[in-house]
Amino acid sequence: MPLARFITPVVFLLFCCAVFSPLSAEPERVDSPFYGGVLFQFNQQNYFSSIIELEKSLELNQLGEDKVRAEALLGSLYLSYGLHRHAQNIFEQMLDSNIDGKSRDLAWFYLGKIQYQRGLYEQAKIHLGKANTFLPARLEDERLTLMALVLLQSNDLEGAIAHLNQIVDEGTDLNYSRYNLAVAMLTSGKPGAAMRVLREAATAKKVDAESAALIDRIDIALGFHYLEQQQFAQAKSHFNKVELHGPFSTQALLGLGWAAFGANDFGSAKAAWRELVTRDSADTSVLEGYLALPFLSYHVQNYNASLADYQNAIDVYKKELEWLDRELERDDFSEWVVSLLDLDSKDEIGWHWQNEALSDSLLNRYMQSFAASHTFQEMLKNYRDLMFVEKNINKWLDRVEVYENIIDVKTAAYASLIPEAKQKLDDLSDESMIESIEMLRKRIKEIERAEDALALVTTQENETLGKLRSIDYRLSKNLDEFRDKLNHLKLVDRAVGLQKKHDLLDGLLKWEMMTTYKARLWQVKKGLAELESEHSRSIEKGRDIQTVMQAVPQSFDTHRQRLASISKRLKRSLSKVVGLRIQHEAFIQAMIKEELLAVKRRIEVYRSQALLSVAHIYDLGRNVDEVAP
Amino acid sequence: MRRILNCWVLALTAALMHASVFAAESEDQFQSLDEQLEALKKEVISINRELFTLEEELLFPANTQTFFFLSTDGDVLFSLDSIELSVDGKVVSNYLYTEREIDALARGGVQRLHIENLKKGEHEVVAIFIGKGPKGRDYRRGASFKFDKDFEPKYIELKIVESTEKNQPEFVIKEWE
Repeated sequence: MPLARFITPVVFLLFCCAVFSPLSAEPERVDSPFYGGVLFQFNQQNYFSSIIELEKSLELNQLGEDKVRAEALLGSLYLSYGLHRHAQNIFEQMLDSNIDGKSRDLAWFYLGKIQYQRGLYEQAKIHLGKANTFLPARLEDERLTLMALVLLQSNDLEGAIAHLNQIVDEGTDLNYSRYNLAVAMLTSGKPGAAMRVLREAATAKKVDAESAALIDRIDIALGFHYLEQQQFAQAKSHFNKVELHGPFSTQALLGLGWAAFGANDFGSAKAAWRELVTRDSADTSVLEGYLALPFLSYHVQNYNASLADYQNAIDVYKKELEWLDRELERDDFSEWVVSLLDLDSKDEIGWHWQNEALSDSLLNRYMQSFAASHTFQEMLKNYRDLMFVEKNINKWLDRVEVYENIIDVKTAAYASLIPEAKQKLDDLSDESMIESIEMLRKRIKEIERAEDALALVTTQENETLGKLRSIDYRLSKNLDEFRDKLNHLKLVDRAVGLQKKHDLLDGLLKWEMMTTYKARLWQVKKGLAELESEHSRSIEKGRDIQTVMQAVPQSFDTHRQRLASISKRLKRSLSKVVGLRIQHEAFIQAMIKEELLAVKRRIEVYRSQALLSVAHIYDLGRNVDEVAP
Repeated sequence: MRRILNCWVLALTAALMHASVFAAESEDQFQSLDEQLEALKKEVISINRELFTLEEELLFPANTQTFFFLSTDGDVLFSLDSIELSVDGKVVSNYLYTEREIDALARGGVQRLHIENLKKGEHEVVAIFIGKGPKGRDYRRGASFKFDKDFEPKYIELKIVESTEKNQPEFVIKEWE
């Protein structure tokens, strides 16, 4: 039994999905609100938005003290988004700059990780080795795992195991690491060491569905290893540990049957395989179970039962082959792919499909493990990313139109303000205004030279003076014209009294003006100075406004040009995205078709084997006359 | 027993051989597509960055730009449902929070709640925080803040903090320092 068939890597779970804040799992204290904004997106797993925000904030220099950790986050996001070269540039630049030990370790770590992913194991070993002081616990565990895998490449098995043993978190992640290391050991032809690692991993506790599935997977691998070694009791004990209705139960039942068969416990073997053939016949183990069951009957010379079970197997294979032919004839699996994409409703990029979410549709029966395979997952992720990017470009193309309209509206609104603004500017630079100020200055000088206090009267005082002059005129006139009448009426004294009163008031007012003259003159001069300064300020402001008046339409033009250029780039990218999406679609379809053909070939092999066995039993019957035709 | 098992191996290996050849071809083709995709993704990121910058310049010029950010002090005694934000007596934002957003805030994220164009001079912001307080009681609290806007962008922070003395959440609005 090929052990490798039962032990496949789950590497992507560890290295592709794992994007987390490079600094801490604790709430981060931020210096810049813009870095906080990035974390707000990042914490919601909106990785695409996080990248955009980070790039924008770095470009606009908005990140203050958070710049270094923002760069580290951007590098790790690039990495998870598949932009390896850009990620590498960021970490190399970080290492060239003056950064603290914590950031330096992060940069070494990510650089090592990129180099491991690109197959540059020696460089990865050096860089991962350097990042050994300040990494947060989770990254340190990942570093140890990566180091173990790197060391395995240089055949340093003990070193690899020693690194795994340093992992602090004894949870599921450690088991993934052990499991992946065992896979790597197995593929590099070291089954003994692989089993040693797996035995340790199998002792872990099943704390949740994920850890249970992983331990089941490990028990399956160990069980088949012992089966190959013909250590049937040990094999049986591992198969027995697997959940009866878990995702690996069919493999366990198949293995359990073989372990019992090897130990000549035919009853148990039959029970295990009878249970196995009640499961979904799309499962490879179940299909093999249909052959194992009649083989057992044959082995115990129960040829009738064997013949019946082989016949049953042939019927089942025929049914499955017919169904596969129908699917292959249809030659269009886009519906199934779309149903996979619909499983995840997140709008952003960078996710991996989880295989437990698949429904029981006919195609899913055969595609369960294929859909979970790393290559298909990566392809599907890329396909989904392309769909996301296409949607993103179309959204921006719509918005670009809106922004072009906004610029047009702004341009028109601005143009409507220009005449009024120009008039005001003209008023400011009007010569008459300058002349008026000059006249005023001259007038004040004259007043000062003549010490003309009356020239500095207020409006109210001027009114009072006017009134006094009018009273004086009227009193004088009355006294001159109507003195006889006033005498007759004995009012002359009264009129003279009024005249005196007027003179007193007039004198008082003029005295007030004379005594306050200097203050008034100072006030007027101050007012003139203020007026001159205000006028120069206005002229300066006018110049600014003129600059703005020229700059604003220019900025509208610049915006318009930028939009036009971006629009071109968007359209260019859109055509590339569509082309690439079509290629991905075709590629995915081809992968699915090839997988279905592989399944078909496998079933055909089973069917041929069943047919040959039936023929062989009939031959026996003819020779021995034991078998009813 | 070993003979039987070996037969199984041979039969299955033959059936699976074709599939592994295809897998190798797929890998090459996949890598080429992957490289094209990487270049394209970078271009789209760059376009997005430029468009967001342009959008901000166009809609919120730097001299009038005023940002309103929301942050929380980690594990506060308040579960936020929504915020109503008013500037100078006018409601400018009514924001309803999802669980994912609340979690993102609790882990150090800062939400850019609103951007407003404001003239130079004095302005007032009022925020009404609605949610569940200690012991799951309905909670509705307001906070206000007056600030001067000049020709530089202004950053206002709305913060939910925990008052250890009162064992109550507190709502603070201040300029981002």
